Amino acid sequence: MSAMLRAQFVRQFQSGTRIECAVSQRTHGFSVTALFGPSGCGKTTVLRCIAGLDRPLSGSILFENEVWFDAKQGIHRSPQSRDIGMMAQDYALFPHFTVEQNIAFGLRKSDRRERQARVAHLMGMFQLNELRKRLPHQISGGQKQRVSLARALARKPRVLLLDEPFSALDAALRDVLRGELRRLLAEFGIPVVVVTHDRTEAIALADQVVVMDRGRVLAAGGVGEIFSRPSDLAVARIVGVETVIKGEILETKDGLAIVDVGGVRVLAVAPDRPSRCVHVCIKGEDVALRKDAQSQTSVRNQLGAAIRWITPEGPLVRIGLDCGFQLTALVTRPACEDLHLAVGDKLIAQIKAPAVHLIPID
Amino acid sequence: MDWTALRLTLQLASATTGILLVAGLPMAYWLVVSRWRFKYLVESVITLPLVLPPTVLGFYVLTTAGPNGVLGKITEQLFGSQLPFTFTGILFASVLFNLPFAVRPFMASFAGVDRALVEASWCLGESRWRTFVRVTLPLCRDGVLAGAVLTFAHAVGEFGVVLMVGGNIPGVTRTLSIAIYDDVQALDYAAAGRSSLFLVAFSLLALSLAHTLSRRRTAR
Repeated sequence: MSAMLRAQFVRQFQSGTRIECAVSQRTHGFSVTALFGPSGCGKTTVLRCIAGLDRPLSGSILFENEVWFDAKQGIHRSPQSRDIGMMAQDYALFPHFTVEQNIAFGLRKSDRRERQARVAHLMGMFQLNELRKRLPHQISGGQKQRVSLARALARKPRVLLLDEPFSALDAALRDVLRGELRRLLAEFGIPVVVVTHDRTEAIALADQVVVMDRGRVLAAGGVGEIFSRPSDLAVARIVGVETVIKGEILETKDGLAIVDVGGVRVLAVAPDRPSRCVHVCIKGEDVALRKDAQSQTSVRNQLGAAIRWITPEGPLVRIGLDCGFQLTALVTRPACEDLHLAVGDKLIAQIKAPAVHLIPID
Repeated sequence: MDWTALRLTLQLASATTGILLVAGLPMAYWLVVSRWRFKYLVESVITLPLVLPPTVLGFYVLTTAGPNGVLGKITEQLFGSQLPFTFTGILFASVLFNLPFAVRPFMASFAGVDRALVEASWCLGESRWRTFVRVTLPLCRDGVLAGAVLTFAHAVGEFGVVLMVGGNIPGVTRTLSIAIYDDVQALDYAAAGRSSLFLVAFSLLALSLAHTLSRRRTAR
């Protein structure tokens, strides 16, 4: 159990804001933990405490058998001695150094030949060879991200910390780079902790998710577990998507994809990037329920389902369905009463194809 | 023109600027990064010469560094001499009086460095000192140069403090501004006019340089 990064601490700001956190991450091999939550929930603070840039009030941060922080023993190791790679939100490239010099920045202590080899290797890997002599203000946002990542990885850190890796990029580029990032990181085989407020980003990048809100950890677990079966209402509200399940694209035609999900075929808009395996995401409010067969409708997905559970939530009712896979629907209370819905009922779940969101898995 | 006075003036200004670069940079850096509660007191003391009449500062330097002053007794013990009416004396006073002209621009340029860059350097394993040398200082180069030029120009034009502490000893404490005063007293308006014109031209040049430097810094 010692091959873990364990952070359990409280950070108190002078303004009175209090961040409480309990995060753990395997330290052997590649795996990604996402700190996920709305802006201002304290995710970045947690990352800064792990990096050693912020000092918590109490608690401890342990990396395997090393103590990085311990309030009781008064231990607080500097960021320099933690051997981490950190990528800041706006990439923090040194404006007075070229791309090449930025990447080599942390390698001052290694000898020249070794340094050159390492930098050349990284520049090849991140496709930066043509930008060698450029200054940061002469390259694009996506290129900056790659330089910053290469710089952080150059020193072979023991853990990589990413703060909102896509926030400085425009939406179109974000979609392209999301899957690419996970693939690139996997090649380095190191543990990654990423901060994000974007659900798609968390699903595309992470293996584990830690959901945070107002300075507290609400839930932690695997991606599917957290997004498909939120432990409580607060988590469900934050994650904002009720069904996340793995599927396999069987066929793509005219921009539409037929996806096999637990033996059931679902029609969806095909993802930008060709990929066989996908996360199928369906929001509860996009699932409509119908008792009798209907002749004509524009809704392409008509799935036979049985009601497994019903949870009232104020004016809404959350309904768990089994339609070959677990699907959650969110309907109004009057609608639920009009249909006389009860556990065990058989009905038809309707989902419009555009409401089925596919996120490729690499 | 009084060439001896000019040479002395440039010596004084160069030495002042040099000392303030060495002492002022760490002082400014500390003032920017420190979270000490009474930091503002130190800042106020450093800024004091901006509002204080030079004669007041000169008066205190003269009394504390004189034979009966605390500083005077210390220098007497250590070096067997005192500061008033010596070049070291006017240099000491000039450094004190020029503190804000160096430290404040330094502080402004340090404060302008993106904190994220400093932290990125720390996370890349570079110590605080190495980060200062490799990141902060290069990014502040123009701001620091502007501060140095300003300090130099101000030291060249200094009058009150130098007169109070140094008097008017040719080749020792008689700077250009004091020579002008002396020339006017002696009704030699031609000599005073030449020196004055030189100082006007010099000051204009220095200010333009400082201005260009600080503009370049913000443009990046």
